[in-house]
Amino acid sequence: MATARDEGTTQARIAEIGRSVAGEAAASGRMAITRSFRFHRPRGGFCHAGWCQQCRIATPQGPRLACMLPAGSAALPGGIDLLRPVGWLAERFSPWFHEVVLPEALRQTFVERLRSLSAAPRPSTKPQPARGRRREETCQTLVAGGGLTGLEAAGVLASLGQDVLLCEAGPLGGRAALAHAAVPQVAEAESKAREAGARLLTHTLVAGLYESPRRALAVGADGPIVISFERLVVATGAIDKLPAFAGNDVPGIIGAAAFVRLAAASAIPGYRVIGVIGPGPEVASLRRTAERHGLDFAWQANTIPERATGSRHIRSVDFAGGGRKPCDLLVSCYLQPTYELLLQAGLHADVSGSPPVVRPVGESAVPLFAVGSVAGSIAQRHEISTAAPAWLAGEEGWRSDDGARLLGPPPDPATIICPCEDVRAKDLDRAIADGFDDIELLKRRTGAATGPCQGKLCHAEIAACLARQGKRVALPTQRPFVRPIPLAELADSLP
Amino acid sequence: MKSAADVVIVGGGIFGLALAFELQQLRRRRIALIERRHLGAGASSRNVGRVRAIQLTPELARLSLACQRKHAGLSAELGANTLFWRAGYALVLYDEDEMEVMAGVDRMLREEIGLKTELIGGAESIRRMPVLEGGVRPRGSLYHRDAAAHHDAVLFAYRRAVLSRGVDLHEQTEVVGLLRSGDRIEGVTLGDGKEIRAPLVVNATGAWSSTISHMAGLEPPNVPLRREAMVTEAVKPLIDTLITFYRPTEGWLNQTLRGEVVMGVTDEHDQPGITLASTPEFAIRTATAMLSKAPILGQLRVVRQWAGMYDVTPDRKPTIGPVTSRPGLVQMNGDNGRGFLLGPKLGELLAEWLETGARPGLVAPFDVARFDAGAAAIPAATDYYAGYRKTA
Repeated sequence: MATARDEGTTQARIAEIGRSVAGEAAASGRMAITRSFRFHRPRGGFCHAGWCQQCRIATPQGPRLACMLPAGSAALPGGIDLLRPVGWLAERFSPWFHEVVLPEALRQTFVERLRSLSAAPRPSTKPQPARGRRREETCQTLVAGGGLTGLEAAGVLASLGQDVLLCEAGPLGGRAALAHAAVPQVAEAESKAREAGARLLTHTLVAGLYESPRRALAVGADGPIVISFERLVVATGAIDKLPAFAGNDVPGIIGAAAFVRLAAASAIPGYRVIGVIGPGPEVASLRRTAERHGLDFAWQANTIPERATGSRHIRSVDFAGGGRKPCDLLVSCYLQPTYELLLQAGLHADVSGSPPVVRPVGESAVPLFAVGSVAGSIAQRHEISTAAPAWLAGEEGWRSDDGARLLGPPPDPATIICPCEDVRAKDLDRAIADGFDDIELLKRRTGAATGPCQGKLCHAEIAACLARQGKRVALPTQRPFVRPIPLAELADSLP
Repeated sequence: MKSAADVVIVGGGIFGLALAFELQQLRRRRIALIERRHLGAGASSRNVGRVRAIQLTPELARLSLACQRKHAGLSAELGANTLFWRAGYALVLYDEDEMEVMAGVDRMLREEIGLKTELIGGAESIRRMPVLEGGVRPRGSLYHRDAAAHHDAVLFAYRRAVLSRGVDLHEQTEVVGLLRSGDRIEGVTLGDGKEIRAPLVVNATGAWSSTISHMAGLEPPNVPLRREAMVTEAVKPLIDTLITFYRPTEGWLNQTLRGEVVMGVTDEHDQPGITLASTPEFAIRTATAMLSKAPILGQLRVVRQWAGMYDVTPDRKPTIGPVTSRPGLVQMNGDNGRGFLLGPKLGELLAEWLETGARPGLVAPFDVARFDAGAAAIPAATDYYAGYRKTA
């Protein structure tokens, strides 16, 4: 059984993540910490967990995520509004630079200007050595994700005689560790998995899957690991979902997990009016967490707003029918099950719901077992012990959910669908109308989904956009890596 | 879909699009352009847009210079900005023997072709390419003010131009067979069973060209070869020059207009065959080599990796022109990794050839007829790249 000390440790760990450069800024009331690279729009982190990539800042070590840097370790850029006129111009031409046909004498200057106007972080000029040696690992079953269900699956499969290797990108516990009540269960699942003989690698991200021969590339604290495996368990959980509405990139809009981390780090109290959107049960669970930290929500809604107002910080949210709700922090409790590894394993993407969510469908190229909130129908933790033997005996560990595609109305044309590349709903619509109605062409035409978050913020919205116009729904081919990996961590430090 | 055309072009990459455009410029005709997936799906949207005149043999250099000039004027010709710019190109050298070889190439390019190449030393290389600071010290570089363009901008400019000129574009359509009457090729059969008859069928399918050649009963010298690449997140301008290095490892890197750094290190043992799969070895190999050559890149985060295909010939030159033994069939392939550079000009030259029946002098060394007596009759490439493969 987990003790109060374990629980305290977990809570301290959550708080530690919240106590980042971005968390510190949030505590001082500053949510805008950088600019978007094309339109120079003020941006702040949405996830505070290292995946949304919206808080990239320049540091002496190169571009880094403010939410992953320990508080005090880097200075935030000042004067984020200085280049607004550039952004204003970019908003008029981007991404349609090819329409600016110029006389030959001006073309070179045009391209050089275009390059120099980027608001991307400045690179470092310091050499960075490779992190460690390349390693090889072999296992029968690879478990990606060390949350509660990943640990449970690793324990069950190991006790069934499988040679199990589990990789977790952070510390064990995943999203479950964010929920106060789940802490003892994490410790219990961990010790069960270890006793059954499963090998558990923490701070090791399964970054990509490869075919022929079937392998995975994981990146750990001491270098790249090439893992040969026969069977794959995907337990990568879910991420918070940023719904599409005009102004959804205004700083001050965060995911539920970000809220928990910031609250645990005492980075929230200054926010007087907190609004929450999302399904009732999710909001209720978050409310309990908020209460423990002495916070309360001013209002909640299970509808997607039409627009958020505010420039450097959110001020209010407008709902259809004219309802305006003030807020200085907006928390989204909608969830998107992670799908990157599932699609890399050969499944296809469909989209459904309001807000739209990517749903993997079809058959995988790998014997695949999806568990936890990533999964379709084999979802629950208590089902793993009965489903696992069937899966080892050859039964499908993944069942597609062929539900109806109930999509909401299209977002406002000015909505930024892809925040990494500042691609708006109207840009996608125009490209589709011009005949770029295949996802691969649409991506190349507009740049949508090609930024550092690799589509995590926009894939569902792009797919919904295609679906609403009656086009074939698909996502761009999912390739390694699931998250950006520094070259120094990917390299082999030669002897 | 129309069942007859004057020309069927198989392959919706830059070769096929350029040929369709140039044919329509000479004389309006019925052209069907057929692409198995989406435009550029093969290699044209997977390359990094280098437009370099520096080549290691005089024939290729002469053609490449003409191709670069064609690219420079493409914006005006197609009515869209192709984002062509003079970035500069350097072959960075790490070995004294290489400096000697490249001194010869430099002389050839300056004296025979008229390029303004420079053979610069190690210190000057680092001055022009500060990204190499702190890495393995280069002996020098062969430098030229070569260019780059945006591959998708070029592709989409062609797309618009051919559509407005009445070309029938069929995407997501596969050619599964050729219509034949004896040795004569008279059209194509499509995946859905439909046929398009045409007196001319052009094979412009790049790495898939041998598949189409086999349908015609030919044994082509072309071999498909995978090449991988990966790209980092965007940062502010860091590298101007398009950089390539060979011995002891072959690799390349450059920064895109958006600020991402694209890079790759080749495995000389890569086996031929069509596959667009990525490998973990590539990612690790490339990261390792880049850290030794340009260690300041170690901070940059790699966002994704992918693969594209080369169509490789034994002498590393394109295979262009009507097939003597199969009247009605025209080859336009053998990109050897230079397809983006060559496409627009080769389209112009082949269109002229097909229109007048006279082979333009510039493509004479690339006439597919040189393989009529079998691949063994043609000396294999003796260029620098071939030398690299031998010593690797």
